[in-house]
Amino acid sequence: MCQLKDLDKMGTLSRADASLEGVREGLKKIRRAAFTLRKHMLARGAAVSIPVNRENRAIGPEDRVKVRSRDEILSALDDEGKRGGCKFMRGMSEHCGKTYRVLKNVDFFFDEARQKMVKTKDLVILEGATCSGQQRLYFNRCDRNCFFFWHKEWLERID
Amino acid sequence: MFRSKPEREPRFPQGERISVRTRKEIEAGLDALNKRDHCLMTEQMWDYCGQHFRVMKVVRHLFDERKNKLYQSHSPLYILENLICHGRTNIFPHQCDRSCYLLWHEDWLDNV
Repeated sequence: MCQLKDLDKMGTLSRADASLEGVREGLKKIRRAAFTLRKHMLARGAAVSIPVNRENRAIGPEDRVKVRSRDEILSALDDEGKRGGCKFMRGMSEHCGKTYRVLKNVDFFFDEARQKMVKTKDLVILEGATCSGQQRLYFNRCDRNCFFFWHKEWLERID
Repeated sequence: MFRSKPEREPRFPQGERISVRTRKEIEAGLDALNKRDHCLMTEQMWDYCGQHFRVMKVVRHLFDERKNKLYQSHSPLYILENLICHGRTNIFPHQCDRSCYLLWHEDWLDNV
């Protein structure tokens, strides 16, 4: 079985972080609205569209890839900041423009929130591109060091 | 003023070379469910017993996505360089590709 099942029992709630629960929820709603607005504005102006091609789909383990620019990626996200269901998280921006090696294709993963195995498409993880654990309105950062999920359309293969 | 102190200070700093204790030593401190302070010793982790690794990070806080809350670990936990979960389990027909770093309880590690 998986270690993630008992995470809540491995520790106690940080009181400082728990006290800001309501504020975080409110901020999430505002952020979602702001994101929708930004997307509409980009659509009117010089929106960059990411080409969907076979080459992107063929990206696989050991390939060297460059992460596209933040603007390119943002312009192709939906109202929830996702591409094909994969969320582009705030901490991922720092990896934009950098080069990485593909560690693994993500075909299935255990979704902690829903507690079930989920089938995915066109996702990879990159060597060294991990979450810093820093989140808005949290005093402490998560130390789990999870790998970010990258949609293949956010990457360019380097020959 | 709200910040609570960890119950135990970590013994191994980040970057330190450590060895994983032997299977016998680790087993002696596990409960019936193969856990130590609720931290599971997975099947894969037995393969690393007796080997040397470098501490990549001391894990003081863990975000639980199921409960959407951040927890402060009771006892120091560690992630070790390059030791990620292979995702194979007999519960699901498919392997999980999430590649989480394995969590190591301090009592399972020793100085080199």
